[in-house]
Amino acid sequence: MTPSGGARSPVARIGALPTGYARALIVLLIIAAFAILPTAYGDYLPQQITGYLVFGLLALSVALVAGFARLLNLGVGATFGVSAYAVAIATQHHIFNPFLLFAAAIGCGLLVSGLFGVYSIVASGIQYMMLTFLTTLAFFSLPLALPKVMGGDNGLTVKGDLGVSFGLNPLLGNEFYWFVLAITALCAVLSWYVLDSQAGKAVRAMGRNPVRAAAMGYQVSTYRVALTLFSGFIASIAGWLYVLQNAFVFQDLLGIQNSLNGLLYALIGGVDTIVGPLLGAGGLRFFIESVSRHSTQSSLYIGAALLLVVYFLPEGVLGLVRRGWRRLQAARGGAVAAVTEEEADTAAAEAAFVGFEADDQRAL
Amino acid sequence: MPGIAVCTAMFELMGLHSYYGKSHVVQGISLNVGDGEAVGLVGRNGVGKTTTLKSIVGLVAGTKGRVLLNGADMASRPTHLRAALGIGYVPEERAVFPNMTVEENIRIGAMLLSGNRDSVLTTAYDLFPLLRERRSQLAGTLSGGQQKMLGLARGLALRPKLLLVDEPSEGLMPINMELIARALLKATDEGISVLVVDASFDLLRIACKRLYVMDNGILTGSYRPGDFSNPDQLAATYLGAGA
Amino acid sequence: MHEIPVQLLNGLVVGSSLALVASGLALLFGVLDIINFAQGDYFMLGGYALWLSLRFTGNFWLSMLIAAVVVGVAGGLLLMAIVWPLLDRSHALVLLATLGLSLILEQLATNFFGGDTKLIRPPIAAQIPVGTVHYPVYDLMIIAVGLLVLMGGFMFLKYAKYGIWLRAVAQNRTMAAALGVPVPRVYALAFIASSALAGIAGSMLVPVTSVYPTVGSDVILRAFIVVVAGGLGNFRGAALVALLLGEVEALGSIVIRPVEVEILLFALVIVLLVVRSRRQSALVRL
Repeated sequence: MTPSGGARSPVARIGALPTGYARALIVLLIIAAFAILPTAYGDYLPQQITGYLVFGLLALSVALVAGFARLLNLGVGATFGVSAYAVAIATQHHIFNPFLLFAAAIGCGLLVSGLFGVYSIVASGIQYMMLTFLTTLAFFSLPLALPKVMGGDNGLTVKGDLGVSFGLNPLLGNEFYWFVLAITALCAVLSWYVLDSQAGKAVRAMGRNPVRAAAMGYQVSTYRVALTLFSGFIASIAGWLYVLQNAFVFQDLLGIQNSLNGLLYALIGGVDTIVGPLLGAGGLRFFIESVSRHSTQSSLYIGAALLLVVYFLPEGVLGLVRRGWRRLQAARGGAVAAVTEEEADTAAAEAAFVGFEADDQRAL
Repeated sequence: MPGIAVCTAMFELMGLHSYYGKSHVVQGISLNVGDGEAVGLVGRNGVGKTTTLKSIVGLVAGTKGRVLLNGADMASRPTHLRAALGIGYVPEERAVFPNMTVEENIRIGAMLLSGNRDSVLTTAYDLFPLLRERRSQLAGTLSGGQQKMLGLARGLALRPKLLLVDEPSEGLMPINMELIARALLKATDEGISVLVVDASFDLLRIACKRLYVMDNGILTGSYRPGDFSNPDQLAATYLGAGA
Repeated sequence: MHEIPVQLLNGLVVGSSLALVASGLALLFGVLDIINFAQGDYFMLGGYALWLSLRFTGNFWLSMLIAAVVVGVAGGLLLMAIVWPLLDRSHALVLLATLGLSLILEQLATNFFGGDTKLIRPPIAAQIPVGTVHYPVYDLMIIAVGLLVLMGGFMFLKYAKYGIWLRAVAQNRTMAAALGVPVPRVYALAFIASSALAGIAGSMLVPVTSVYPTVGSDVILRAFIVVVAGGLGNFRGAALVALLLGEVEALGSIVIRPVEVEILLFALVIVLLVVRSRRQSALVRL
């Protein structure tokens, strides 16, 4: 792997480190870069990236439940919205303590996730997706049904001063940006830690093949609920950060829109990675913002982008990168390629076996 | 491999290899079935018998080899064309259309026929009187054994040249197993060839003229049912030395 | 506000067109396992196709026929082309692909037809007294045509060769193939029929609701609810639930606010789905 002689470049030296340390180092470097660079550019950039980070967290929460656990939960956006609304409603009732507001956001978000967790126990596949979808639609109607508390279709503003966000001003200076960056990094690291644990690996196995996992003795429903709650936790944090930054909530936050956005960002970036959703959120939102500025055809571009991703990038951008990386490794004779080939083979094996089980629910 | 020489086999399988992913399940099988002949395929669980049948019908993606029906190679054709050209399949698992009646199920088998479809129904009901009793019942509400019989009746309604049947007697009471065996016998009388995978010695004895034994993805022997006087002797051929 | 007989009829007008859209969705889901997010946009295109044909032919009924055929065939084949490569992969991808199609269709419609609302007068302006109010004859015709198409659909599924084949593929695709059913052709038929149903509904309703680029989005949401409540993949169930829903909403709005009716319906359907899911064992017992 090393060149035959001469001094080693920094890149080669990093490449020679054991993978864990190398990765940690790269991550730290990236976070540092994010902490410093946008503030150097000043102006609006930190706020823009704050927005990206918030939606990146939303996308991450979708990736956790849809990518890793393979539960197509279309209600993550509702969790996000409910947390945001919880903060706004609390401030309307004169609660300004930032810790209490955080607790309210997370608490309400976890309650909603709990509901989705219940769904994952009683239903699976399309039924589960439909349950989450319908529930999200119901949440969307709530502001209209309870206009006094939730502001109807006018939305709600966040009352109170900067104390609400721990004294940090989202519109001025870099502190709020660093705050969000730190929280995002924490969530990402936490997610990585959870997914890398035994439990996390079990969840991935269950996502790929729940029947086999159950046969091996795993309590699939428990893991599903736990992961749904964890994903809801991240989504609630995202909602809380959103409302702190924007100081305003409106009906669309509760609907299907953000769930679909989150899913799209996660897919583009790479739905079974942690960094992927963050990248996808930033990238796509940047793309959409630029496109909307210059034309009114944004729906067209987003639709086209969707189709492109679905056909050519189902593993997301990071998936492409990973595949290229693996090919590089394989060319160098690495053993890495073999392991994933086996995974691919099992998948192929399962796909090739055509069973005859009839589907009882299809009455047509 | 010893076998009974058949001059022009109606159905011939030549060098079949089947893969599930990297798993080489069927490792080179050649067999034939003559006109109006019933042939059995026996062996332990998991040696590739079901995969063989599924490959013949076109349901296994990774296959190599020739599948010849009256000389025409089916290997590149999709499943529904193979069925239209005369290869029927009655799978082992529950495969009736659950929200259609018994009669509707049988009729679907007959839908490709140009002739008198009602006579097909009558034949089916003659073979399995209990199906006639339940003709308007939804197939999904039948018992497992009844569904198996319905599956066979439906496969026969196709009037195929070759009918592949996978474990028809599994889980059936001896009375019903006999019904199945006689149905297969009657089918061969009417010129339908049968390739049947089954473990029931009685069924094989009643219905089949020849038996192939399969082990670990290949054929290890070819016999007549008459070569054995009891089930253990047959079982010995595939539970033999290596087991 | 309105009398009950009038609301009953209103409910049927909404219900029968909702039934057409929803049963198309159910058909596609039943046969192919796919959720088509663009179904509402085919409803919208049906309306625009009518408007466009009307300007060329001047004949309302002919235009309706043209709209149905064009949206059905062209729309169905387009949908098939988009979804076909994704059929073996995850449900999420098909969902997103149809969503992408939906966005593109909406934008193209805005570009081509403009974002304004097109109004078309009903071909028959006469009214019939119902109770103490005069009810438009055209609306009654909508009910009649809608119910006729639905009945035709039921009959087709029950007795026609391709209808039986559709049901077979929906219940067990592999076994259907093994019995000689030409599955790819049946798929194509499902795509076309589903699109045609949406197109007919859309063109029928133009004189009542007008057509604008996002007219499909309201319809599609309620259609999804209907499909779920009727049993995913259940053509008859979807149609019946749609008719019922139309009535419940129409009659319910006499007593309580529409949004409350909506939330109640959501809650009901969710409970229904949960109950039904629990009854199905197998995979779910994990």
